[in-house]
Amino acid sequence: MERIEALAVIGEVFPEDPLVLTCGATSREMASLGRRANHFYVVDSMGLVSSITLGLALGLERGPFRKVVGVEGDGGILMNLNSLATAGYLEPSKFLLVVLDNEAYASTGGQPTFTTRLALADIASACRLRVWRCRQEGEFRQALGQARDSSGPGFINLKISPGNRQVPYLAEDPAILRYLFESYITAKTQE
Amino acid sequence: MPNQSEACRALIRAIEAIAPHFLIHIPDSTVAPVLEHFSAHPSIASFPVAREEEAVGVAAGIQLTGKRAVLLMQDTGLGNSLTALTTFSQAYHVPTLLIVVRRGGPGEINAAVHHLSDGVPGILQAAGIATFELSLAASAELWPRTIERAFHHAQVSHRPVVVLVDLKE
Ligand SMILES: Cc1ncc(C[n+]2csc(CCOP(=O)(O)OP(=O)(O)O)c2C)c(N)n1
Ligand SMILES: [Mg+2]
Repeated sequence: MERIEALAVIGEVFPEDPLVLTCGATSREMASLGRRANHFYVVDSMGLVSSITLGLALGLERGPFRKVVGVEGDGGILMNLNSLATAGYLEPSKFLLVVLDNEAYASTGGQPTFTTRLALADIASACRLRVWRCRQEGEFRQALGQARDSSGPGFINLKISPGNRQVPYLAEDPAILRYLFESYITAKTQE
Repeated sequence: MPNQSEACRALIRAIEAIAPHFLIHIPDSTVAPVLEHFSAHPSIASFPVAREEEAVGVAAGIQLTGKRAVLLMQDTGLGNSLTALTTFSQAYHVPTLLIVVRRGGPGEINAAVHHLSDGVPGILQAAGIATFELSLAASAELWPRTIERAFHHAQVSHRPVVVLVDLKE
């Protein structure tokens, strides 16, 4: 699958649960599919998505959402592997991290990452996260559905093809991105 | 404030007055009694993270859900958190209170830490992060008052705010 196809599937399976999207092409491509109030675009802070997602999952442990989903790249999670250990230790029931693994820093020109030689899913599994390893769309949809419907911290690794779509940059002030997303969370938790 | 253990008690009072939902920490020996106090607290959930940068991200995520988190760490870890503090907490206007224990300076026994700790106020200033400072020279009442004010300043200014606390006797 291409990144943008994987993003479309994630958006379909989680139409209302909070999605935290990593920097670079991931945020841009998701936004190009249509802005949604439950989507949170992290336009820089490479590697922080798993930690932000963990904080959201802790805060929303008893909220209305089924899962809080972080969408990270292989390069991004390699920058914050300790967040997997923290998630495995704290065991937030709604934490789900989806890694779109193209074995490259695609957003910066496709330089190879460590996942050309090692499996992030093995690391996540050692951190006591429930792990799904996917290569095709069918497997990916099934994994997302299972993760959505089960309790406990999860980690989905999806191998995708490298490359980026040419889509517009996200130019808003991040304070506005936060305001829109936070307003959505507030409204949903008060419903 | 006569000594370190009294300062720890003042920190406990300050954190309890703020009453955050979560206290996120990376251990430091001087505030061990504070961590011990919150390890089994009826209303404030305390937990460690592996690295300071995570702490900033986790606290921000919690804040976005309408709950509050306070961070407790030592200043040698500030370097680990700067990218997150600036490109996330500041850029996204996420209120965050960091209580940062001072190392370095007279009384410090580790020769390596001066090289970061001594520069911390300057680094924070360069990063545009509002900073309050407390030491044992401040009175026992001033500690909780300053920390509560810093917490409210973070909320009102929609920014991360640091309180540098020096517990060296
Ligand atoms: C701290 C930091 N270092 C480097 C960068 C530059 N950078 C932006 S996106 C990116 C690549 C991200 O790779 P990955 O997470 O695998 O996502 P992909 O683009 O492959 O989908 C890099 C290195 C950055 N934004 N921040
Ligand atoms: Mg990649």
